[in-house]
Amino acid sequence: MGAAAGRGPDREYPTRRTVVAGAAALSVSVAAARTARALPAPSAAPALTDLERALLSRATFGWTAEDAQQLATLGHETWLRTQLVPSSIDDSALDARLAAYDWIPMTGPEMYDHPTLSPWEIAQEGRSVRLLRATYSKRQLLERIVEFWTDHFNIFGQTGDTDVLKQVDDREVVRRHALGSFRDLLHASAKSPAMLHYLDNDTNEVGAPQENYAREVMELHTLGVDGPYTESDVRELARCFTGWTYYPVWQLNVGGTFRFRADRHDDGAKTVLGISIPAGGGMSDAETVLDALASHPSTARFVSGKLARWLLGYDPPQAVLDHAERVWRGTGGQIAEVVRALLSPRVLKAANPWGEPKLKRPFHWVVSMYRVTGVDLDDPSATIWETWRLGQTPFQWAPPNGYPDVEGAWASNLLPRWSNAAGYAAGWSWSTDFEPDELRAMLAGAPKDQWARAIHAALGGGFSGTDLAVIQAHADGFSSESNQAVSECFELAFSSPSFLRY
Amino acid sequence: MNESSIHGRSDGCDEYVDVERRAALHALRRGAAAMVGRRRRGAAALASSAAALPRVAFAGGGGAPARDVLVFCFLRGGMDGLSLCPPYADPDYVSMRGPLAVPPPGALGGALDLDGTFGLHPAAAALLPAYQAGDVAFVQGAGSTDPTRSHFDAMKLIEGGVPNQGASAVETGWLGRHVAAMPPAQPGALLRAAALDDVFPLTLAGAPQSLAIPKLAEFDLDGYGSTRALRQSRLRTMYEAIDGPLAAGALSTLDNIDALSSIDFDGYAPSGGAVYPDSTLGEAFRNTAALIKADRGVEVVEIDKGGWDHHDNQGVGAGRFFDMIGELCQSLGALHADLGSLMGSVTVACMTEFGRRVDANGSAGTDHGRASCMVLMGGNVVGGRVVRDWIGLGPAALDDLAVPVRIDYRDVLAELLTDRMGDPAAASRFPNHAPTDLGLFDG
Repeated sequence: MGAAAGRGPDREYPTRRTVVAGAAALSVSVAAARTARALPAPSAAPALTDLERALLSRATFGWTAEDAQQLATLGHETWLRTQLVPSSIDDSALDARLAAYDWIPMTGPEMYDHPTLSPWEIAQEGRSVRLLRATYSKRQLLERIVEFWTDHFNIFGQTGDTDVLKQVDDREVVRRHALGSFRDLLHASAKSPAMLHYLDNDTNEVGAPQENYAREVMELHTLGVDGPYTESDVRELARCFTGWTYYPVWQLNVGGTFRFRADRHDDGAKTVLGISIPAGGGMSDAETVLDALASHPSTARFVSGKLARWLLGYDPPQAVLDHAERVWRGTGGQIAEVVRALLSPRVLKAANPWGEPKLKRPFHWVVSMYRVTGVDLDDPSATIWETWRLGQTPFQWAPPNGYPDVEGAWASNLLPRWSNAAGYAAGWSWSTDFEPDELRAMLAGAPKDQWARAIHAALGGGFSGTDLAVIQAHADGFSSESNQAVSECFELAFSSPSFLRY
Repeated sequence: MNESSIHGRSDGCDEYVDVERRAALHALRRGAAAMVGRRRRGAAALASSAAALPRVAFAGGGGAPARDVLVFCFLRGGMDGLSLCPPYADPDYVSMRGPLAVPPPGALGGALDLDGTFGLHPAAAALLPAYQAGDVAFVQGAGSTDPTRSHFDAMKLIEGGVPNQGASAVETGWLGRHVAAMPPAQPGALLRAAALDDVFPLTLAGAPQSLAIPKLAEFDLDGYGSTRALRQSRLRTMYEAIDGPLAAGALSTLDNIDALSSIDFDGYAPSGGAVYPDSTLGEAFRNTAALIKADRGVEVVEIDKGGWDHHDNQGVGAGRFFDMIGELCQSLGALHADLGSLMGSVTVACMTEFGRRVDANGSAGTDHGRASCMVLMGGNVVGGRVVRDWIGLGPAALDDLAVPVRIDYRDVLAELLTDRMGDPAAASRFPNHAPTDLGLFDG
């Protein structure tokens, strides 16, 4: 990676004009042709352009009529700008559901002192809250980006103190900075007691350093595994982080909050990534390196590329990746600006999401089914247990790299989804009161020989001709419009490749 | 570090051809061996068990190479080979390991002696009977020649079976390529490779007729029973219309619903007094035994176990490593007892992406190192020994504070594929590598 250093950041930083010119160049290099996969937008749904439908699929956990209506009203760029200022969006319906969780705004010590809930119960409720936000929040783009950072700065929620401290991390690190500055996000994560515990830095001390966090912060959080760091950099950075810990959770008032222990810090001189860190710097040693990591060109390339793959496709065109990297560097890692660039009409079109769809991960898939059917998840804790076998329960990925986002990892474990769809559509879910009558209502009175078209409309379109033909054939095979007939036609829709992909 | 510094050889084409030729010779020898029965157990043992052997053991007839079922266990996170198989008699072991050294045999909580130099962690005692029966070999000091100490880079390279960094696009695994290149061991087999996990591992990527199955006992399609078959055919029509991994995964799933749901995993009764741990891992091994005995033509079962990244509270007489190695070895011991004579057509291989540093860190744990210890189990493993090229733990021997890699994991796996999986081109599953035969298996 010596080449990156040789280019020099000054010359690389684009002006506003080069950013715009880059975006323009993109649209020329695009094979934007749609495949035959999507039928024309169903008439019952708001009239969205193909590009707007692609935006909804990228920026939300799945189609709802209400979101589609809002996008149709505001238009692509205004809707996107609004989503990027989540506080401007009324989310009172979600807030009403979350009111039951009084610990959400609490500090770590307050949670540990909770009058009725054990740490284990708070962790369980934390998974429920994640499900509710993904399903019901109007700030959908925020939730998609939160999902991204939750994996990027992954913390396993069952590692000792992380049961409670991950809830604080979710609020103070991931959600607070999800659309802010990457530098602030990185610094907040480095001081997050949950991260300090999960990656063992809480026991990293002078004379007995331990390098777990120091390695992963470079490999996974910033530079990437191909980044320009060495084993020596890992060890030197571990020395910088000695003494970064948190107060024991049982300690009154301060338990579970960040603590720098100067008496456990290695105050000798260090060299990390070629940066000389003089002796006696205390806590600033690691902060200096975090700043260098946040602004490093390798970080810009690695993280912006990962964000592009998250939002657009497994293998976006190089021009798209280059553009994301330029915006990242041009804005100093302002996340909202990178997201805005990636989802802009021109870049979205260049990424050709119709031709190269992604496979929804299990959580995304089940949430998209809940959203489009408008189910009332009134016992989300039970829903978490019911969906556990899908394989992607929030905060349950143990290694530090986060749940995988590659098709091959998830494509051969589909039976839990199909069975879940079958049980849900049949009205047999034991965590909800969802009934086939609600699916019947979504058919809007269509006769049985029109059900495939009606389902296509009710689920927001995007179904292939094959999938619709199969659904209609299944409907045709029933002699009456029974509950079983309704349920199974929706089951097949939720189990189809068209609904599994986005 | 590169390969030639370890084994003093090049990667030239001539050697590659030699390997192919040697594999062919192996196959011939194997044919002869099959006629007289397995070498160490003798004809009597074979005679008493022949009726129970699955067809795979004899697939292809007398002259064909053995086609074992492989149970591959990837221990993710960096399993500490120095704790599993401690070199208690190495003069530098105790001083280098400090508080995390396993005490010598005879001491309180001491290792179980294996060969006078190496021992077995006391929590791994459940594996000792299989070792004493000659069915377990430890390959100490094994690992990847690539120096990375990143979990994810090391796993990518090892699972991909590719040599060193620079191979950034790794899309298939060594074992996936083996399955893809071989004809099915049982004609018409619907499930050739299964990963007992939520996510599908890179090791198996590329294998046809393969699935990730988190719970074998729940492998069925819910919904109305009256349309169960019809809905499967509807799904088949949908997924036949698309391409790529999703289509392959969906069609393999549909192929196997009837076949797997007809096996009574929940009611399975292990043989030989085997007791599997009451845990996810124990259940995976128990179901694996049931799947092997059901004889549906499965060739590979991968069971991954994460959580070996013991940077803190690793423990010796108690602790995280103690608990995990106990669970693993109880599972292996139970499988060995349960399969009994069937172990003559099953090979188990356990490995990790790297070992730990020799010195303990400040958190009563260990940081990322280099070589670790592989475990091989099977009736045709030349077992009851600790295979190694040991140069000690003195400062000069170490690779940047870690056990140096003296045995290339690819040599072990290539030999396994050649000798036990009937692969005539095993070397080609590991690009740019000419394997050395270590004599690990009866072939």
